[in-house]
Amino acid sequence: MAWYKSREFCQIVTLIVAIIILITYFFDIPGGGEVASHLQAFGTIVSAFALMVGVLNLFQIHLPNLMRKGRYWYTSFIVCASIILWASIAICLGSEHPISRTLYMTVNYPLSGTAYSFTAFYITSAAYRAFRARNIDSFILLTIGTLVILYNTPIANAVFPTFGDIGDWIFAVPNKAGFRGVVIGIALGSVAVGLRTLLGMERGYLRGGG
Amino acid sequence: MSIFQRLGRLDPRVFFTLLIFAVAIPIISPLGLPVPITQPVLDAYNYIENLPEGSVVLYSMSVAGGGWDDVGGGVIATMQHLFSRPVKIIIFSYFADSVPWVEYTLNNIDKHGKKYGEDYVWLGYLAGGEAMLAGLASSIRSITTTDAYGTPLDNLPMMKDIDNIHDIDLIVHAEISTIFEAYLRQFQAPYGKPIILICPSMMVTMYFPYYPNQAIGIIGGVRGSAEYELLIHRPGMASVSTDTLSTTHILIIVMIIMGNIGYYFERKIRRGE
Repeated sequence: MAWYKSREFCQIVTLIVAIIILITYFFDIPGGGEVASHLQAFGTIVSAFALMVGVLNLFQIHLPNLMRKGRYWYTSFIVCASIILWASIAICLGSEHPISRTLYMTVNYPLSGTAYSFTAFYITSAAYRAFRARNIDSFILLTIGTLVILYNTPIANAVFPTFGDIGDWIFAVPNKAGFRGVVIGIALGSVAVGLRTLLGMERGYLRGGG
Repeated sequence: MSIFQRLGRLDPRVFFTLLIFAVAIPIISPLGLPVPITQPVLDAYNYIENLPEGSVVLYSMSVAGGGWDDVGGGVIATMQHLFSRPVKIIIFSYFADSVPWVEYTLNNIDKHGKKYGEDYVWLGYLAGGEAMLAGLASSIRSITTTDAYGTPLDNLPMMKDIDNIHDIDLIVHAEISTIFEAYLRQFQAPYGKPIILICPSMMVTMYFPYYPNQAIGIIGGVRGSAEYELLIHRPGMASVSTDTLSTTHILIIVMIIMGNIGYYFERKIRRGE
């Protein structure tokens, strides 16, 4: 195997880049900012390539399915045809062209808006079924949930300002306390993963090898 | 089965039908229900209102089709407010999908005579995720040397003295996903830059712990957007939707009460057996 493909080389590159970024993040070193800026720009270019990899990956999955008329071949056709159509128009005419804009605003927007609005129906149905005072725990959940709904209901807030005060308290005290705990836990976990990566103990990012 | 028991076993199609009416009626015939102003929205408004002349605002647009109806009102209202103030605005998009919405917003506001290149600049979609944000903080030109229309940044009068986060006074970030923490990591934590967040209502719970220290103001969903529209005295798409918010939420409360009445009677009968 070529040396540049070896796991050790990739780990050394990771270590050097991570140390440069870490040091320039915490300390003001002359010229360090410029080096970090170049590395970040490099990262940006690499991640832009990931977009192309994503498109190729989609074709790799859907084209064979379409060729052999496999399960849900028609959805594979829609995916491939949409990518080709959108990409061709944007490349040939430019993404600012009225046809590109009209296609986006008349197809993507209504479809994604419709999918997004489905949640309203599911939430209503779920609230009806789940918010039942079966025991003390579910009674607390029901009470808090109802108060938060009322807090987010402008008319309830306008008629009974107390709902606003209660909602503010729920957001500012229990919600903040609980969520900050979760966020701090995630941050500590990220530090641990970062350290493992720096020390070469975390190898998942290298060609998917554990 | 008694009528009370039936309340606990309603067909979902009943709520769906009621929900359609609860959404449609206020849109067809607006009710004009009152909308009280909440503190996170007022803080965002006050901060923009009190920005000193010549301040530079970095406007990050990370809103795509699906969430536009939830946060679009807030985007248009804040952009309108910024354009009415003597500040410079740099707009960029974190997602490729957001590009048409930036242009839609710019076409639907009163620009108060602001000139492109002198008072505001549109950088277009900047790829690279969080690495792009880090690069943007250290040098805008390390990420892009041209604006969205291909004009070199050095040819735009407004950009002559602006290159990194130290030249920025405020960041306004509109999103429908979960990337706000990347903005905190790259702009707020290392440089202490104030950020105003515009996000969907369902994300407010998640981001509220960052208010008011990291996010100096939060405009959450349709309601926050409507509040902002009222503050700038320009009722728009969000103000129309807030009536819907009231009717649908009241419907959900009624449904919850009905479900519990049904459950209570069913349990009573089951215990009696």
